[in-house]
Amino acid sequence: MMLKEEMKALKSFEKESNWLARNYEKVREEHLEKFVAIKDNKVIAESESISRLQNKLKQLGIDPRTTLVDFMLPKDVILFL
Amino acid sequence: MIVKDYGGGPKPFARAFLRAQRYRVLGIIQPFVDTGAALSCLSQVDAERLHVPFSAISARTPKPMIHYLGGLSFFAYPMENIMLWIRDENNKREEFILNSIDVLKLTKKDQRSLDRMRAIPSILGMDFLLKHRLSLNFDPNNRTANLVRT
Repeated sequence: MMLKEEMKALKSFEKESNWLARNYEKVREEHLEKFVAIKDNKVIAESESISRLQNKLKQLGIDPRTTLVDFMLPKDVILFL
Repeated sequence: MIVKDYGGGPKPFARAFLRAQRYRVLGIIQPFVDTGAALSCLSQVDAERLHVPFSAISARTPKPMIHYLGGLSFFAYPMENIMLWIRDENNKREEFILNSIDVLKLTKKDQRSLDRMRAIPSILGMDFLLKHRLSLNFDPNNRTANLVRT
């Protein structure tokens, strides 16, 4: 069974992810080639490295494992996966 | 699911809660659902963010496979007994069990590789779709995507 806390984290993550999708161009422009952490519909931390971003989140008392973190890839970079 | 402009065009991403009980790993991920990928994997960025214990996982796989992704090469360390929860378009929770998922770690640690690695997402590949009899309905024009049981 899925725990209540996990479900809550997933719902919140989806909400933040929807917000980021709606505001992607603006966030990308402002935080190009950086990791951003999103909470309550805003960027709460940014860094060029994931470890530094995690440290910033810890200082804010936020668990990076349940926080939306995304990398702002430049528009002109084509990624073949 | 969500459709994001990423790496040159619209791509379908799932939103999932991942748990690997054996390693006490848990957290949210946003994997790219890639029908062109044979295997699912957890990106190095997500692995670090979720505190995956690389040393414990790598100790169990002394000779890891190599995955090539986005022009980079990665060691692939299997992390077993994975549970994923995803909500469908009707907000219903779906639970998926994977025997394992490959955790990626760069084979080279030069600055160029480290910089480029940041853009590599986690991936749900064909192994996931086949095991759970799922099809991906992806409409890049209307920017919609969902996973449907077949």
